[in-house]
Amino acid sequence: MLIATWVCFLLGILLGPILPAPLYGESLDHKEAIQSLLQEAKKRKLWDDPYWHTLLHYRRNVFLLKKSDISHKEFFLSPKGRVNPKAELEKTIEAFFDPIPEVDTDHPQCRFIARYRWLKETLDFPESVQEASCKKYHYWKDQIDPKSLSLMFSSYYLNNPGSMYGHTLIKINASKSKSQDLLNFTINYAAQITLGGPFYAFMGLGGGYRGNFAVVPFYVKVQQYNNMESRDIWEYQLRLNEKDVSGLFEHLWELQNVRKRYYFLNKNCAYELLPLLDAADPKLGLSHAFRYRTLPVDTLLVVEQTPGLVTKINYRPSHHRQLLHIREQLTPAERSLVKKIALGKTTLPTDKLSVYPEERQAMLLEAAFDLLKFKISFFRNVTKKTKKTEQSILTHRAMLPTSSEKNIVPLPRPVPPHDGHPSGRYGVSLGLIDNGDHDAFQQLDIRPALHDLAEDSAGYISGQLEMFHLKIRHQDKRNKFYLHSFSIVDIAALAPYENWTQPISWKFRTGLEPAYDIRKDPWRTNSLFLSGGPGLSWALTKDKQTKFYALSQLDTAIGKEFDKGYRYGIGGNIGLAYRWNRWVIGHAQVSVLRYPGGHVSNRVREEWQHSVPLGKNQLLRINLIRDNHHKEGLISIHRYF
Amino acid sequence: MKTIKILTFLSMLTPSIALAAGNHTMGGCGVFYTLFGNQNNSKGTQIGQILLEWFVGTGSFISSSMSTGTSGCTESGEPMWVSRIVETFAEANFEVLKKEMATGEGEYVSTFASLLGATDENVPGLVTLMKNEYTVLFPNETTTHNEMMDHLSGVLESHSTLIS
Repeated sequence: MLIATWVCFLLGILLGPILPAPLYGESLDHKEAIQSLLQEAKKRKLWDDPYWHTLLHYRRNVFLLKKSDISHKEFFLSPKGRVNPKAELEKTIEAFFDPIPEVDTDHPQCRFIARYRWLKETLDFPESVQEASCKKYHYWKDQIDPKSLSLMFSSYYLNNPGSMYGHTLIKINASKSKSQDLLNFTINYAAQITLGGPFYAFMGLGGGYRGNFAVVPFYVKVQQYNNMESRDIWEYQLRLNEKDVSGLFEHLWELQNVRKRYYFLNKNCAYELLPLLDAADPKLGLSHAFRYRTLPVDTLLVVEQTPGLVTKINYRPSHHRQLLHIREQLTPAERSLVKKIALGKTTLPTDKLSVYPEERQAMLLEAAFDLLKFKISFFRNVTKKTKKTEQSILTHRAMLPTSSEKNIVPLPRPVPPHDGHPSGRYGVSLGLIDNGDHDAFQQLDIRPALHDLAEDSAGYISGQLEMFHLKIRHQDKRNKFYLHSFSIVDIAALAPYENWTQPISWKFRTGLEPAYDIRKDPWRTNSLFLSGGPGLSWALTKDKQTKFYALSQLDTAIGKEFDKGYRYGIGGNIGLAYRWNRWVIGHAQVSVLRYPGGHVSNRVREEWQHSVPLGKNQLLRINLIRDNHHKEGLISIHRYF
Repeated sequence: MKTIKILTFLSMLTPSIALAAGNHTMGGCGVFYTLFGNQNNSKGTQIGQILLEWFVGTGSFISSSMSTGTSGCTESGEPMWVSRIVETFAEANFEVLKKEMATGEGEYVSTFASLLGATDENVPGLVTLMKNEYTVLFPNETTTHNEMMDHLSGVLESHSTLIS
């Protein structure tokens, strides 16, 4: 018996290494491996590592407790994972040793491929750990072939409410030649609008919508932004190496089924790209720069200002911009001819075209096609007549030589969006009121976004977009602090008129402001107002920076100081927005209104604002207002943030 | 009266806050329906639906099964957005492609030529061919992208050296 025991023992020593381990030995090895890794993680407090927090989207909430922005339960392996980085890390390590099925897509090593890669690099994983093939992920990655990244910005477009603040997305550049840029893919984050109409604002501000990532071919986005929405696209190529790009891609894979709460003001399309970039390079820390307010242009600014991150900036002008650029090169007779061809009112006037050289004819026909496309917004469900016009234009174009004159004058590149003034602004003012009695006042104001007509529009929209502009005053003689006004939104879209695209200009504003034409203290006459109307504007200078406009105006307000508690009126608003050089920027306007309903009255309001930029981050402003009997003047210093 | 005032205030808020929303509509959905919808043929709509499911995040980034013919995969298991990449590109960019094929130059037609298999050296030649054969490719105003592709196949039969 003793000899048999010794024989078995010696055979086990000699043969043990080459024989397959029994099952109980495997699980013992795994358990030991897991324990070893957990101990190592504990020793290093790996759950506090910034990269772990980046991958799990942990942030400190208002109570300074760590909590993931992601509420999607399937994103966490531990039931406490959302609020406990340690529990999630431990559960993740354990889960990587789960048995691997034949189809391993849902195995934690594949579902959380970024976590697996990072933990494997950071901890001493045993060589014996069984690895999932993650075929699906690798196939997807091979097809998209990520080699480098660009941050894209599609510009503001005031004539589309969904485009007013611009948009950012990431382009994944594959290892193809430049001619195939359109075939690259983009990463886009957007909300699923489940309930619209009157609930849109509340749902959006309160996180009632869910957002998710989508991977969309770049050509789809170019069609959407450049053509259908007439927005410029800016590309900021990023200096991230292949390993960094791979890190972002792996994390994107982890987020594919995740739905996060979408908040219009901060956790929006612009913000959610930042954790992805942080996953690429943890040293960036981009997402930590934003908490309560995230505008696309601000995220662009942070990226552009990160030393060495942006290597090159490319520009794709919108269809509209290209169209107007060509128009400027044409004579009045040519413009008229192009318009006639585009509108298809007659058969193609080949006799009128033939007087031009072939390259010029080519340019005119292309312009006519572009104008036609603009008029129908690239919509495909068009009339037979429109289709016939398109066919006629292109068939004739095909008969002409390839070269045309359209590229003789290169399209000037506008100031890039990151070179514009920062989006937020606050200010301190000193002023004087004269409404029969002189009174000095001090004013504090803050405007989280974005731009007004008396600011330098370089890099910005051709118009005005202000949100949540708050003004608080103190009047000396009355010794009174009061809320002067709160403008919820104040928009002016002033697209200079020309007879090709025939744009309409318009204004819209709403909020709380004093009704100065009622002879009472402004804190007593604060009213909720809604005002606006369409009209036209004209560029007075070649650079279109100086514009004159004439708009109709509907004006309604409710307030306890009005007779019957409300008023409504109609009138007109004319103005001049000017920029002659960087020192001479301003806006002057006059409104004449008649209120026939509610509080019956007449009103004439004149206002002039003149600005002098003091560097990129400060602004000196003079403001003069007369509103019926009320007169005031103030001088302000504003600072951008 | 107070209720009316509150409701009036809220209704005033709604459009203004809505205007603050920025680009928050479902990424790609609207444009997908524009680029791939309103087609007269079912193939175009099918591609549109497939792409909607695959790219726009209503499902996962890739089909849960690569071996079935459902959920946007061919019977060989290859996703349709891979196997029909040429057709998809032509459908999505049809308007601009038409123009550049008539013009004989441009980013879209060059990319299209590359997708058809032309090398960098042959792209200009293929683009010129498409320009010269424009009336064959687009015989009338109702020519769809599928019909254009069929006509192009016929033209390329006698110019196969331009594509690999």
